[in-house]
Amino acid sequence: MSQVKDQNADAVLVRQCLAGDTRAFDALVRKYHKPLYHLALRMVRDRDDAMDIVQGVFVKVYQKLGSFDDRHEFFSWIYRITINESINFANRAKRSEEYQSGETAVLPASQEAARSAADLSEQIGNAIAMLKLDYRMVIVLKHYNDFSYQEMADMLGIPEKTVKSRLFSARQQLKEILTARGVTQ
Amino acid sequence: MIEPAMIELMNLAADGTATSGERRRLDEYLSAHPEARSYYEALTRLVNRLEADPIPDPPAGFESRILDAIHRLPVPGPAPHEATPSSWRRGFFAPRLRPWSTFGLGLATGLFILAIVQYSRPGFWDAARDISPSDVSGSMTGRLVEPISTIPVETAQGTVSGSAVIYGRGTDIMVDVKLQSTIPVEWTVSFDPDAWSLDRVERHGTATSAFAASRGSVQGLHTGEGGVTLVFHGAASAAKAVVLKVLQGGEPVFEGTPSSTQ
Repeated sequence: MSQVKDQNADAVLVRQCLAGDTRAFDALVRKYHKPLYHLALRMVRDRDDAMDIVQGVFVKVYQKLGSFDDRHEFFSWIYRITINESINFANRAKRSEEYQSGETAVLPASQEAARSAADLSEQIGNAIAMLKLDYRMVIVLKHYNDFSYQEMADMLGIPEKTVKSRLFSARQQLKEILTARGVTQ
Repeated sequence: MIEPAMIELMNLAADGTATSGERRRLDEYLSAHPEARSYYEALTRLVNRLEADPIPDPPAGFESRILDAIHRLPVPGPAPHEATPSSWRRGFFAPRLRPWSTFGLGLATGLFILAIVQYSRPGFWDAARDISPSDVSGSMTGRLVEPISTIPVETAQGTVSGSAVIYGRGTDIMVDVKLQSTIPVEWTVSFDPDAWSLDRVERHGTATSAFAASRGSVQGLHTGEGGVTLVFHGAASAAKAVVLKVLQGGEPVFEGTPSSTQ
């Protein structure tokens, strides 16, 4: 993650790209495509959808690169765009805050089925998919992208206190879902 | 009952961001409150599981796919010149701004301020909160149509009770799930996906706090008293295929089908 947050290197690449060296943008794609895919995948739960979202984000960032203000952090900008695109996607697919639908969601598994690591990961993913989008977002940013409270606050445009409150409530709800499913005590 | 301030401290400690003073205060609290200690242990287990949960990488070729898309685009350049503060001022006060448009702008601003003052009055939002989702959406409600079947819910342990009532009018179907539970449970409503398509879920109250849906089923996490309305489109005759299950700790504690279908 420290590599992702190497802000000076990003600013240099952006300037090089705007000066006509388009290979500099390739370096940004190489650096960010995996973490952004991880973020989108945990938000929308479908690999193809996550890839479409991330590709769309890079296209948008490339086209708007000239408007990027390098006094701000590039990673914060590109993550924010990915979050917005993921939310837009979820809303377009009628995955509103009170009803998140997905073909990948599965019926509750038995305790036996939850024992293997792969099944456990699937159970956790399904439980996260049941959270409302605000909660899902902070869980994903904190635990799958390793951002601090302050970084999440900057990215989401909300106070740090609100980030903490959402994160702690999201964990409580996640714990209840997993307990109800017998995945954890 | 665990103090909310201590729950926040537990979360900070689980994230490794509690100060040494906070950590000490938490340790003292945990040693005096066994129920808080078990809560903290469960929270730590959850955080550790999330931290260790692997996410699959994108398939090989994804990077090339993005680069191909990017390389087809025109080379980006600096943003076009943006309006400066002085040009903003010139634009706003320019002589070409006619008197009637100035009047219109003033009127709009006045109405906006009036709206803010009105909406800020005590009780305005409280009144809005009392409106149920069905009132807002104008959807079919149980008051307007007769139920075509019912699934009464009562678990052997008595921890969960309630019902799922199925209403139908033409091809509009509504399954009204109302539960009362003293502990967190998960419910699943299964239906025939070839006969019914799920249109939307309307939540009533906060007892059901999370949802998920897959082809042929809808699930919810539930604690307390309240419920949801599942709105479908399809044939009323498929109501007999509805199955309501309730799980507690991952184990089924109730399974029911419609008691009477017309």
